[in-house]
Amino acid sequence: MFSYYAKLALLSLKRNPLLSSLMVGAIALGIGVSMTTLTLYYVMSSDPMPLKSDRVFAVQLDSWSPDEPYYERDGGAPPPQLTYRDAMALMGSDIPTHHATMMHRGFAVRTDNKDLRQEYKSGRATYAGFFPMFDVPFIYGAPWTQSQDEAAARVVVLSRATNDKLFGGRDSVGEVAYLDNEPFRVVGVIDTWQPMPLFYDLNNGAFTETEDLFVPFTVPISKEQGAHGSTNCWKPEMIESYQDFLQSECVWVQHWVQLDTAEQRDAYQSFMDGYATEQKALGRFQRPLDNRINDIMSWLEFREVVGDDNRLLVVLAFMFLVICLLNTVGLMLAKFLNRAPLIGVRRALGASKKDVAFQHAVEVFLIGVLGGLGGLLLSYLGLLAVRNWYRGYEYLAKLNPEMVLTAIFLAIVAAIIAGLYPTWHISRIQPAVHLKTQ
Amino acid sequence: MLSMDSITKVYQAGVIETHALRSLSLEVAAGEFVAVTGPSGSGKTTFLNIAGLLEAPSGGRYVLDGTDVSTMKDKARSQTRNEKIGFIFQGFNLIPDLNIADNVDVPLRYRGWSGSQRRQKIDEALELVGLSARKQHLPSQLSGGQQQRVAIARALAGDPKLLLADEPTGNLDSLMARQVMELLEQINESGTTIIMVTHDPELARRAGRNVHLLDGQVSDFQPIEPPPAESDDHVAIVA
Amino acid sequence: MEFRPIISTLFRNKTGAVLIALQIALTMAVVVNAVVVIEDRAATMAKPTGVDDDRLIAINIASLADEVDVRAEYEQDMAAVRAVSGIESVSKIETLPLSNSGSATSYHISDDPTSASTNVAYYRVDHAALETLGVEITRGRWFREDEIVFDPPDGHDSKVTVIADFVAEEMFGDEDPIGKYMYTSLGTGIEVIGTYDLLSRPWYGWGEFYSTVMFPVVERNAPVVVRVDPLDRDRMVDTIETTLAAVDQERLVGDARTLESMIARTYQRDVAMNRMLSVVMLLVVLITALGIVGLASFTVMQRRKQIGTRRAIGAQRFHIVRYFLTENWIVTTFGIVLGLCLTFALNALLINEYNLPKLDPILLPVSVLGLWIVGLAATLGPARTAAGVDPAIATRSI
Repeated sequence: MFSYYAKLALLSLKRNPLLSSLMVGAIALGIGVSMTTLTLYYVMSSDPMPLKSDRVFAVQLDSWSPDEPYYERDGGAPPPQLTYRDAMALMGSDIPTHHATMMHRGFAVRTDNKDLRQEYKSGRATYAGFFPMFDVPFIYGAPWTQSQDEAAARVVVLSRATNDKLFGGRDSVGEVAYLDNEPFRVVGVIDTWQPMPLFYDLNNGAFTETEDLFVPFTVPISKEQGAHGSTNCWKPEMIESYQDFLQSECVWVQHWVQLDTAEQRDAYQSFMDGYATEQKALGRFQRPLDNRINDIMSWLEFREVVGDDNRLLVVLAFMFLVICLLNTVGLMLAKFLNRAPLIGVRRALGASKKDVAFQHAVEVFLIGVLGGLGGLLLSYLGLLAVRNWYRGYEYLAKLNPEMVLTAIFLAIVAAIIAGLYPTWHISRIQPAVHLKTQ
Repeated sequence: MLSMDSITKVYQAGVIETHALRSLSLEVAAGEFVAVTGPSGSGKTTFLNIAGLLEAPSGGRYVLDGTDVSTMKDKARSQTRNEKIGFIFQGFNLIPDLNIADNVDVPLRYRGWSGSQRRQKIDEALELVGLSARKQHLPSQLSGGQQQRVAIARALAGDPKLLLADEPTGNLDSLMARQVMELLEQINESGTTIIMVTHDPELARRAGRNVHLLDGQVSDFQPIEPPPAESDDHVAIVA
Repeated sequence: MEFRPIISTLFRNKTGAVLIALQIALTMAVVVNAVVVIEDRAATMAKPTGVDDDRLIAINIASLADEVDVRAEYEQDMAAVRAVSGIESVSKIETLPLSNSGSATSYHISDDPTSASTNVAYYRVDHAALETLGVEITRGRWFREDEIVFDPPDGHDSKVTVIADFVAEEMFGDEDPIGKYMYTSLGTGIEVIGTYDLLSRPWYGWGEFYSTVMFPVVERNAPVVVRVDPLDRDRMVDTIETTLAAVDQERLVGDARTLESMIARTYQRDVAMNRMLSVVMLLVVLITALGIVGLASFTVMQRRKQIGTRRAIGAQRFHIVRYFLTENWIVTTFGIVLGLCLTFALNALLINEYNLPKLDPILLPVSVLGLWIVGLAATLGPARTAAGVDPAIATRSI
């Protein structure tokens, strides 16, 4: 019977192509617009490291001014970054499974190959713990060692793309790359790795590419270099030298820890609080104790990675979908009711209410499927437009299989909701009323 | 075949009640050809709707082919309609999107027969009305008389025991009307019970028995002349 | 007019009318609130930077050497760029308005760190920057060439400053700011020697947009900023980059961009948002209009006989058109009344949740008028079809 009804549904769609395309189009547009905004929202609010996002934490210490909190909201919150001296104190802890202080910085990069122009590359200065903590995949070599961290060894880990560019993609472990004219030995090459959102440093936006290369954190420190990020200070202090800066109350580095068990987390919390209390005695940390570890998802929420804009867009897009559905309800109802006399005939010839309802449900389903496919196409075009309009969204505005399924599912559900009332209405018509007056 | 006992039908429109049928009783034996006549508003259409299970009576008892159908639920009523009753309408009521064969196919679909069974039945029915050659045509490509013959084929395809005809020749010229009438007689001779609502005294005369309705009841009074036709009830042109 | 019979007809076929009215209401709520968001952003983006956006190009320079004579490098670079024909002015300026990178700090009105302070973004510029940026001096004077400090160690900013009129008023009110001092939180005084009209911060959204000051400082690796004729600008970008690269092969020279492209990048999220909202808005109106056309066509089809009867008993074509337009107008107006409530409700929600501005009252009459027009325009086609119904149809029964 389904195939019979499918045939009838096709006939019905063909009979009034303008109206049919209007119904399908309305659903497709509603789906297209809401899927475009939903995809953006979904990617923005997705978990960048689903396997261990609840075991990896951003650390916040409240070393800020006694006069005012860093964040006014929620009765005050500690700054998002740490001072150098506090981060170094945290690196002394042996509680975390892995931990790493880090900063973003650019480097002028070249090799011995004179054909390649020296180029500016983005880099991250961090500790060896960065790689296992964030499950960074290596194709060649391995992270540098802890002793190389301590020695500020001139070693570098390259991204796959950088290795392709500098060394033609070969196993470059042991070769030399020049960073700001200084030779660095390549110890590893990582595979394509793009957590989204890029959670570990939100200074330059959450939807940027991972760095081109990685060096030990101690390297720029030994060269007296600062970060390319954001530096915030509250205390009037005389900063005349790099050492002054390192000892200042300015926050400018990020610190992440991996704590696998509840015991580790408790121990780490007491460690942080103990450290802060110790510092209080030295006249620092004058605010009430407020030291935090935030797992990745709460960190993204705390830093408001999903903008109000995007939420607003989703709200408006779904209102738009509702409008499209109302539209479709109206058109379906009109179409079905227009057919009432023919339904009267079918009823006279033995169709039960259920048969009539089923026949129209199949038609509604068909409209839903077509609307879903149209909606997918429109979402694709919509995301293409978004990518075009906003460069930072290249990694965001992509349809993934889940979203494709969601789109089709949403379209069919939408069509069924839209078709529910018309179908119910048409199946209830009194056949006798319509037979006389065809 | 059909036994109606004190059937009443009341339509409620707001506060106004309209009594379309007031205690109508009628017996029709198997194989009969009954013509139902009566003036406009006498309840002919309501009678036909109730007889054809398109509407449920407000009161009374209706036994069709040995089964009490007056209190059946929608599904059973639909099934009974499908299996026991054939309809022929004044306006033919063919489905314009479907070709002739598919139109005849409609009641068979609801019976859940297999494809080959249905195809055979369609061929037989169209053969009977002499339209086998027009299977793939759309209704709009046929004349009025041909359309009514398709409608008859559709009504007969499911081998109904009871054929209900509502002014079957009302929209046809006299030549075509005669052909349709001959076809109905032929069907009746092969054993199918026919109840026909009509204004045409000539048509009524050709039926085996005449039942006259007046004010929603069977009237003993048989008019010599039928009342004049009224446009909204009788004249129909297929648009 | 025939309001009463139309309304009673509507009441008997209310589903279709209700659906259209709901669509109109939601459309109004979406469109008006989308316009509020768009206007808000457009107003932000329309604020002038105070410089000639269309004339400026910036080129980044990074020397990798351990020690650089910043002054000598400066002289060399300036001479090289000035030699290119078509250059109106060239400077080294730490950052540019809306380039999205820069620094801000607070200055006090006295050497007491608890005294009133004003947060300002600061620009470290050379003496040619006045001409390069195209900023106007309103009081006092501009920096002399000998006041420029080259690559000072951290914390040693200059002794003099030129501040925005906005900052002058914030710090000194109606008093003449020239000769006054502003103080760092460590109590170091900096003399105000002049004021300028307008210069925005390097970013927007954090702090007062026009709260800026300038210091006569050339930092190591400060970008070169060139002022050119807007017509020559795009072809000059490469020329200047090549010229600077040729000065010293050991330096990294690159990322030459026009100020307009930097501003576009800074605002791109807002531009993208506005575009998305505009598209949604247009589609909403389109869909609603098409819905009205579709339903009106059906109504006309269903009422052919009735229309024919009206025609037969003497209604002229325009009466029929008027009938349908009136009917639509009534439905649209119902929708609009409902829409007004929805619009305010949504706006209240958005103000609450997303810090959206309150809606501009002028939007309401405009949107009401707009929806009336859309409704009537959408009905016109079907209404004219209705007017074309043959009166003879009345005598047939279909």
